[in-house]
Amino acid sequence: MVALWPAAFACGCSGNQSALAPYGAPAIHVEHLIVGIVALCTLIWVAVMLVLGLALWRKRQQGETEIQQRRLAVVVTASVAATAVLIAGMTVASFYTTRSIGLPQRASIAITVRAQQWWWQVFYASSAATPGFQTANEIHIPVGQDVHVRLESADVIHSFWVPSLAGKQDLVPGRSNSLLLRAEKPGVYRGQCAEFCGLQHGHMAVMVIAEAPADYARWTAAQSADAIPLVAPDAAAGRIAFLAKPCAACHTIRGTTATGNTGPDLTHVGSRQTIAAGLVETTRGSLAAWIADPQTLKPGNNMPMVPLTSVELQNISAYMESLK
Amino acid sequence: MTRSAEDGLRDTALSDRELKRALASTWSAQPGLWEALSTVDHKVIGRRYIATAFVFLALGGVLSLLMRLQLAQPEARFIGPDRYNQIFTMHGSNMMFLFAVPVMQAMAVYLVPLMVGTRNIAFPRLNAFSYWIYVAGGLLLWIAFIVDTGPDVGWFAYVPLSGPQYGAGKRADIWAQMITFTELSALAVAVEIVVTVFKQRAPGMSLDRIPLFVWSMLVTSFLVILAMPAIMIASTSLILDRLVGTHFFNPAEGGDVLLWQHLFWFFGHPEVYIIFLPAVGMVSTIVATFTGRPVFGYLAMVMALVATGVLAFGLWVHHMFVAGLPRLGESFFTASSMAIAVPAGLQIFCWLATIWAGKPIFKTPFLFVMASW
Repeated sequence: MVALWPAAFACGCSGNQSALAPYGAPAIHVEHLIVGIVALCTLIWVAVMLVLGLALWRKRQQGETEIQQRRLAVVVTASVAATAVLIAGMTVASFYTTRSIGLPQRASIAITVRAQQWWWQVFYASSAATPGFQTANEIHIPVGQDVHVRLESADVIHSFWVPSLAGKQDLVPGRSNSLLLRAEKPGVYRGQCAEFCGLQHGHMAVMVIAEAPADYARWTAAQSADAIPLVAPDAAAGRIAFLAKPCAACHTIRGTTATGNTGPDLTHVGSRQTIAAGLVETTRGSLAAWIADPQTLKPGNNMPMVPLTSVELQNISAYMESLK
Repeated sequence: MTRSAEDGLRDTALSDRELKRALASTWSAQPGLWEALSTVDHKVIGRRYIATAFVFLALGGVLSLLMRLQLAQPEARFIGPDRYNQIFTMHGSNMMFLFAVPVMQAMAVYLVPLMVGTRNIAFPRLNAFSYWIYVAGGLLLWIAFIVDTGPDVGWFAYVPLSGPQYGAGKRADIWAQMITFTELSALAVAVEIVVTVFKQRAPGMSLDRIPLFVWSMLVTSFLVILAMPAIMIASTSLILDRLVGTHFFNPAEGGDVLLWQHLFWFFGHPEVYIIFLPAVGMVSTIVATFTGRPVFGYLAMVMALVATGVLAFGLWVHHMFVAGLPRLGESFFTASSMAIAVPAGLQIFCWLATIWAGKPIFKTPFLFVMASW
């Protein structure tokens, strides 16, 4: 068993969703605290085990003397005092960690995340370069910059947790919380709702994509633009079907007459890596499967099954895929 | 003891033989099913309580196996999300409210009167009542689960997920009613233990002579008396929100969803020590017995139990560190949560000293204690 431990730890540390594989300043502070406290406590545990072993199997003399009693009392008292000192040290360490992952005075970028059963609505405020825009389940941030994330909930309590980048913070209805998000290295970091929120809590993932500042600027410029005009005939037909069917009542596609706001904004849905909060990769096939029967892929979610002919389904899927 | 000394203590004119017969007829169990069900003997009720708690433990274990089967591979289709949510809610609620707390209190119902030298627990009929109301709570929960109406909001039942708007059907109501039953039972037993320890100790057994297990159950009982009302207030407010339409937890009408978390964890954290303290009491008793010497530092051990009990009420906010409370308050609760390691460490060091000074006998109970380190 013991021999397997390092292997188990190695597995736990890899991947893009682990507090033990930190790539952002807040997550790195937290990881140092975790490793430090675990290491210290392991040392203490080993010491206690050694004393226990000695106590169990030491050679014993006849009878217990006054002196022995007094010596034991001294040792026990000293150990309790040492415990108190170590505990105080760990408390101070924890205090400094909490302070260092707190919000900075000013962050260069502000994002609002509004959680819903069971997806993440993301708002980017307008800046000098771009007007504000909305996206879903995917957050882009520039590497090496502090990002202030405002956290709100539309229904029940959710929790925003991207362990490789930052701490965990709840999204509480009736309140507004904040979190510092920061990545030091480009990459895709997966997050997951961390407060049980109902039927599809398990399928409520969020992707944080950290990229070089230039790439980030390109992305915001593309996202803040309206949906691009279409050339392909099937996508154009899909657009007509989308606007004629109930789809437009719940979804917004900027640049069209679709302005519903119950479901995710689909203006650039084709540019996102996944659909349905990390459920499946975005392809024309997965889009078609999702539109055809959302309740089988993610039972209980708020998207109804809209009756479509197979041609309509194909066209709408093509249209969705084209919305880069 | 000689006859003459005994005579001095007697308060009856009956002869020895008649007295024995009278006592036997008063205290012996009557035959028959009705007598068995209506007994108020703490030993019978204690055994029954322990056995019932272990039945719930086994059922809870089956639930966890079902969960592990579903999780054995990603996106498995073994259990649907609705049933799965019921299963993990049942597992948590079952283990906390129908096993862990009751089994510890059951041990006390059986052992405490014997350890303080009294024939029965205080308020024996209340004791019987507490057992039956506990069974009622357990049956309510499990029957609801069998007919697919089991609670599905987690054993912590956070609002608004468990509230009227998002918790459809009767599921959260069943959960809240089970809480009322089992907490009533826990409160009744706690009162019995406190009164038994304070009022029914054998002559000459002062408080500084009672076994450490009895001390641990005394502290635990005070924790129950102080913590359980919070969860009963919470579950009653939840039922009112759901059935009457009050707005305790509705932010749109001036309620607060974090109020639920404060009330729940003001109970929920002491609950941890309601389970932990009886166990350390058992360890103290077992270590003393199987090393052939009294526990080292009896007074220090008692102080550690009391300190843990007091600190237990200053920790609840560490369950809400991600809820967005002020940082300064969180730092206070971090410090108090860490501080509980001091009395816990003290107990470990006293056990070590006991083993050091004593002569360990490697029998099963002692081996279990050693394995727990």
